[in-house]
Amino acid sequence: MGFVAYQLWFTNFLTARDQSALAAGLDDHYQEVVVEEVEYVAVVVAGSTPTTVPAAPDPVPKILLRESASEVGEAFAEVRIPKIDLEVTIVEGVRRRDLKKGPGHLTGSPLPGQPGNSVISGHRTTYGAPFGDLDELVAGDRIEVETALGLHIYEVREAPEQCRNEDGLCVVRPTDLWVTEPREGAWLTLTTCHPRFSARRRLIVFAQLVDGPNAEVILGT
Amino acid sequence: MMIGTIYRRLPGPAPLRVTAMVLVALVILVLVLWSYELLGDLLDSGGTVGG
Repeated sequence: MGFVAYQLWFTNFLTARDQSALAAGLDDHYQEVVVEEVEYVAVVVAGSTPTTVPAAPDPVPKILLRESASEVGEAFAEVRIPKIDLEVTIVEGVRRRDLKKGPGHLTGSPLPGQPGNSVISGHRTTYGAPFGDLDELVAGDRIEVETALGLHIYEVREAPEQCRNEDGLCVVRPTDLWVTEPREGAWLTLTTCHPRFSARRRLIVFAQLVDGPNAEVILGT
Repeated sequence: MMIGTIYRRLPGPAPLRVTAMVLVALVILVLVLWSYELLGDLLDSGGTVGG
């Protein structure tokens, strides 16, 4: 009884307390972040074939906005998923203590809104269960990520065949690192435990950047 | 009941016995919460991949 109460109630209380503090400090973080302009270099994944070939070299380098990374454990962004009524503050890092505060951004993966594959992990059952309803997302659903640069909008894409189950969900083993590997374009990968009340597998949601401060440069539109 | 028995069997003056029992209770509480944390990882480890 004590264990169940601790996991399903007390951990939620702890996370709700941390989330309030993190959300309150987010505006200050936005003020402190250093934003710089860098030349855009497209992510090229080894072994892939380019889908388009530019007719001529672009004489003007494309400029990308990039924000400075936060310290591990600090809040740096907010994720909103209207479909599942989620609004949560994201911290840098995926250590056990980081994920107790809220979903965490995998350090080393690009920040949301940047080229490549930005990975965010979160609890499914305990500690506020921010990603508890991630299995309800389907292709086309919108994911909004607000960072110091502005609002980045992603759209959920269909689960790749290599991990798609009978329900159309992408389910992998916890050791399937390929889901975190760099991708061409700009992607957001959300990971959580699967099924609910078990850490045996991981549920993965892939979403692609469709709009935002860097979208025009990355998508080439 | 059991706590009372342990208390009576402890040597030394009453304040010392109470202090000792409070300390042991705290240690037990910490161990229980720690075990909850470890067991909790079986329920939900945070959803990381490769971590």
